[in-house]
Amino acid sequence: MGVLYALSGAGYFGLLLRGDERLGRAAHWALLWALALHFLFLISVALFAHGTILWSIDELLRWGSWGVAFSYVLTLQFKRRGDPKRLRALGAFVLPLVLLFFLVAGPPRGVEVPERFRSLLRLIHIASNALGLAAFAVAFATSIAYLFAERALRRKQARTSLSRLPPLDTLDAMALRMVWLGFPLLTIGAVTGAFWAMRLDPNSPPIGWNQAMALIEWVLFGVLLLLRVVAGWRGRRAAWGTLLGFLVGCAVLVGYAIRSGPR
Amino acid sequence: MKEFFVLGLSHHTAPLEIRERLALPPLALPEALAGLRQEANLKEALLLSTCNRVELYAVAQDDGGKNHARRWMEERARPAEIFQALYLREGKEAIRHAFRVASSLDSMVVGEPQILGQIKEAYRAAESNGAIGPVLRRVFTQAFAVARRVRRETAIASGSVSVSSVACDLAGQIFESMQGKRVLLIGAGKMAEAAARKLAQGGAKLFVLNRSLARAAELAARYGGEPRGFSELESELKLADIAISSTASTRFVVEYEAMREIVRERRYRPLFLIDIAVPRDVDPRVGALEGVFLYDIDDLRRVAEDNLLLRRKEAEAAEKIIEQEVASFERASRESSLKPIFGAIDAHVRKIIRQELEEVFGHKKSIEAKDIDRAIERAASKLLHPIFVELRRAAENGNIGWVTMVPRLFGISTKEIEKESTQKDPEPPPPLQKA
Repeated sequence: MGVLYALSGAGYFGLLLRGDERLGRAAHWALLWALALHFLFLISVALFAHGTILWSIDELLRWGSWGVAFSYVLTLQFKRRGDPKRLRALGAFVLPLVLLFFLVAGPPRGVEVPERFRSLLRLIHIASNALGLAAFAVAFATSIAYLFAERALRRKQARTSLSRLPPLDTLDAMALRMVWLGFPLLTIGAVTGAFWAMRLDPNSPPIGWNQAMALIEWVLFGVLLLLRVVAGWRGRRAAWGTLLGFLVGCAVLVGYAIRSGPR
Repeated sequence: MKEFFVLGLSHHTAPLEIRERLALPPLALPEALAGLRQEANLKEALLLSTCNRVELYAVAQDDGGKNHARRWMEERARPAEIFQALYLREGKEAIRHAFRVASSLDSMVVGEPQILGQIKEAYRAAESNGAIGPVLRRVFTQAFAVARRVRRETAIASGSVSVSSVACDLAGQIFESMQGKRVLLIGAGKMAEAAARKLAQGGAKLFVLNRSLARAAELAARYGGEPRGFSELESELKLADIAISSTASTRFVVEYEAMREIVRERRYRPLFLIDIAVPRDVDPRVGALEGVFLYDIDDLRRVAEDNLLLRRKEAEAAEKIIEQEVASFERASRESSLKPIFGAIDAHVRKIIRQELEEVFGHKKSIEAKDIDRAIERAASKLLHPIFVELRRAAENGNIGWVTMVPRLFGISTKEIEKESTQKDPEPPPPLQKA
């Protein structure tokens, strides 16, 4: 799967750099195969773990990487307007994230999940966080693409490979849609996480480093959406805001990853 | 394919004043073609007349055809002037020329797409005139395929090379669609008008702003837009998605301070500002404002030149494709010209064998071994007789190449010939008078 994701990413890079549509098509097929195999793999992992699904940060990343790729494919599928070739070129920015999450997640470890960790609340907490992560990751990749393309256009470098990306207003709208999708999921994740932590250990401190960072992430994305709606933020500003929000989200993930065992 | 030729002139060889004298309007083409075919005794003919070239692609009945065609062209212009400008390409060169023209490698702007459509039109006109035969059909069917291949495999047509088209391409890098976009035309110039027209064709709504409201109204009416007075500049800039400025003003029409305020009020919505005026209409500092993409005439020209440079580079790759295609077309032509020869030989051999078999067995009720030998003997003699006669003649004329080639045709090796010469005296060839 990793190889297929890598091949797909390389194909999308080829499409972006050389404009060769055949590479884009091959990359797309590689991505579809990788997605299908990845899904079967995730399901089989869940079955072997006796139905315990999404119980660790590795699992979150594994499902998250699949979610990023899946969101991207869905975007391509349902984006009726616009040049499909240009939308595919965006894969050069999305696939590296997919691959990164996939590799960081690593192979599944046979950890026994303690009974007290098995709860629906926890499942909802991690699932919504995984889906939110996927949406924010696509928004992040789209925002990076926006910033590069915008800079090239400002520098009057109209004939670079970045001109093969979708138009700036499409990239901006895509990033906004993904943040709109990710924010409610992040909210659900935060609320369920807080409830579950309280139920698990009512005496634990109300907020630690990870919770604080998660809160900052939530506030950042919330403010970003508010500014987009109220103050008309868009383009470069909004792209930087998305980047910042996602990086804080990554810091939360790193914080959880440093702590060992299921949480 | 030797009989296929191209006679004509183009922007490479003739200035506009000669080209326009020879040029034919589309309605006059059929009559001209019919007259030319009759006068020059042409089997097949196609006349291509564009603003950059007037060319006759034809298949002549005889050598005089080309001279007649040349005279026909000379009569339409002053002979002395046209004599230098006319070129004649025959056979392989003519095929290469047809492929290059169709692929837009011979165009004034390399990679421009119109020429292919013009050739197709000329082809249709010739076809409806009954002037297309097997040669021109093959050449042009292949030329259209080559043009498609060149476009598919090279970036020869990528990137616009005119300032107005570059402006439209750049707009396409900012906005997904022109549908519903507001294009503000400040002042009027040819290039600005051309760019605005292209954007309006994409579905944008045009607003024309001019110091003279009457002129603005006239322009707006032409493209289905709306006129605006110059006093509305700031309010229109707040609403516009694309603004094209080309006034004759000697000072900035769009100033930095005013634009800063406008950008804030636009809530940083992207604005593509195209300044085609010389001296410039837009303060260059405006380009640094958030959401504003400012391109002046030099920026647009630079993009156009870069595109042209890329097209020229791609043209080298396209020339290689043309060479491959010419070679493969020639190969296919040679093979197809051999087909009737193969067919005739096959029919001839079968006919002789059938005749001899009928001669020997026709009236017999039972077949004996000696009859079979006789039939073989008769058929072989009849088939080999003309070959031996020709071989003997070739040997007498010292044409050794022929003599050594014929055994190869029968798959006879040198060893077999040597063996034959050591075993017995060779069969005496049949007397020449039988030939």
